[in-house]
Amino acid sequence: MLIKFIIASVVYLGILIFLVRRTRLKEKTTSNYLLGGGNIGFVIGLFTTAATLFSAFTVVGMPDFFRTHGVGAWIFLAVSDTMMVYALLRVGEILRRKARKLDFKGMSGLMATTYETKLAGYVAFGGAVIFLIPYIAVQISGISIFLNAAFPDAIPVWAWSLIIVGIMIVYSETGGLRAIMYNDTLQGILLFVTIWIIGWNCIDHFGGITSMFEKVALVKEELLSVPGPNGLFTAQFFIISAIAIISLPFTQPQISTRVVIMKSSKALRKMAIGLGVVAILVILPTMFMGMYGAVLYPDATTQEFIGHVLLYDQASGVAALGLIGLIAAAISTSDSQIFALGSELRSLLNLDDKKAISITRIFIMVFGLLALIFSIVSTEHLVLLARTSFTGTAMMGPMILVGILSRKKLSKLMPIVTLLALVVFILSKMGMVPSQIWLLQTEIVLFSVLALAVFFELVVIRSTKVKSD
Amino acid sequence: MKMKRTTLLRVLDCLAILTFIATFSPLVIPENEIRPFLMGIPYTMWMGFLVSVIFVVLAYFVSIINKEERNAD
Repeated sequence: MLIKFIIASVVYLGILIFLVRRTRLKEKTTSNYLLGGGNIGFVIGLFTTAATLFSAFTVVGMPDFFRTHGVGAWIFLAVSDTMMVYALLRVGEILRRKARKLDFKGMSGLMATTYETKLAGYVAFGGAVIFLIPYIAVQISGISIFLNAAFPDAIPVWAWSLIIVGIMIVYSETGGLRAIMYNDTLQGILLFVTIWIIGWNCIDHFGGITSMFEKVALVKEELLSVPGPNGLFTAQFFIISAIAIISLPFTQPQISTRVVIMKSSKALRKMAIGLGVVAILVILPTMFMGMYGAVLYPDATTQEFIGHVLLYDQASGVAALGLIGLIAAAISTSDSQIFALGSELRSLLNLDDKKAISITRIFIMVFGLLALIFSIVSTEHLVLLARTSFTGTAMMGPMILVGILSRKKLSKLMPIVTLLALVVFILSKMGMVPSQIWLLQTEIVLFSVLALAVFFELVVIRSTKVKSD
Repeated sequence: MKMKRTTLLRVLDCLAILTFIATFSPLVIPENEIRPFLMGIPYTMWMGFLVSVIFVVLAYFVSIINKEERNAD
């Protein structure tokens, strides 16, 4: 398999190099380097958004979720993703309208402008950094450990991490957002093909879906309902996850940028619908993989299970493709997140464009290096921040949505309450603040407090001055 | 025409909110209940699949209604 993996890697890298050369920018400006020219069509927009959204978690985490906790994982991710698509369509156009009027460079800058205070920008940027860097680090670490397990005599774990981050930084620095998006398209297609081949093989093992669920029922019937064998899938868990995922297009800078730079409203609408369909089609085979693991590897560790379903139980060619698909999934999300952090920083800088771009490019390398270091020196706190990253960034959702949707002059209430909510959330995850208050999980309490703050901002704090946008 | 569009959007928003609420109720996620099956698929799985399709369909109707709406282009 090593030889087939090397061949597949060479082909993949060859295509990446071709795309990098095509998208190489001599003269880098905010518009062409950070915003991809601001005129992305529906097809590229769909693939890049899907590739950014569906990370290594989709290939590794979701099958394991289905295997361990059961069919409720569909509600957790697929249903939440389609709810997100609806929200994207309803609010995305308003975001684009506001972004174009206010010379959008990043969500942090947009928040500083709409709230007329740098604090809002710093909260948006700080929240993104605190939760995205660990998420990127854990992805890189996970993939590197997996590659090391697949090829134990090749190179050490840190060397795999270095190669992955190195590839990301080279094409990001050279071609900017457009390079990332073209690579996302390649990676998205690869992920889709790979996951369906493997998912199909899993169904084929059972001879059909009905037979698959019959076998699962014999092994562990609790997997076929909620809350699942470990009691994870409660209504509160689903609500918190849904809020986190629905707010992704506005709270995760790599996705909000893609919403803004779609070339037309028509392209945005088609992209959003396509994303809903793709979400269903990508998560379905992960369910097949999970049920396969539930029957054949019920007591295996995650690594053992994924090793079998992606590699050892597949033909060597499919296994090599699976590995490349896994790497592609991790890279397509991580590079977008690292680059987006750079864009967010740029949006807060009041310098001439050339200088701002130079600083941004330096910081893209810095963020990449930080992710690399943390992937090698992974700690329990980092993993915790990564696992809670979607919920953490969702805490910024109310502030961002008020900033986008409101036409009135806004006070500092939302940025301050959001900052406090983020701090309390992190402390609750570290065990310094209770994770449950009475019957409610702390996240639900914090979301409720943020909702109350929104009510105060929009209804109670009246302003005679209406903003003229 | 604009009023009709606004009304239709409100109807779709109401349907989306109702579906959102129903998703977290025993209608979609009944505890420890696997029946009735549909083509061998347990209840929560096929109901969950249906809910995800409903949201995509609602989103599609929003996109049709918004087609001629003032846009940012």
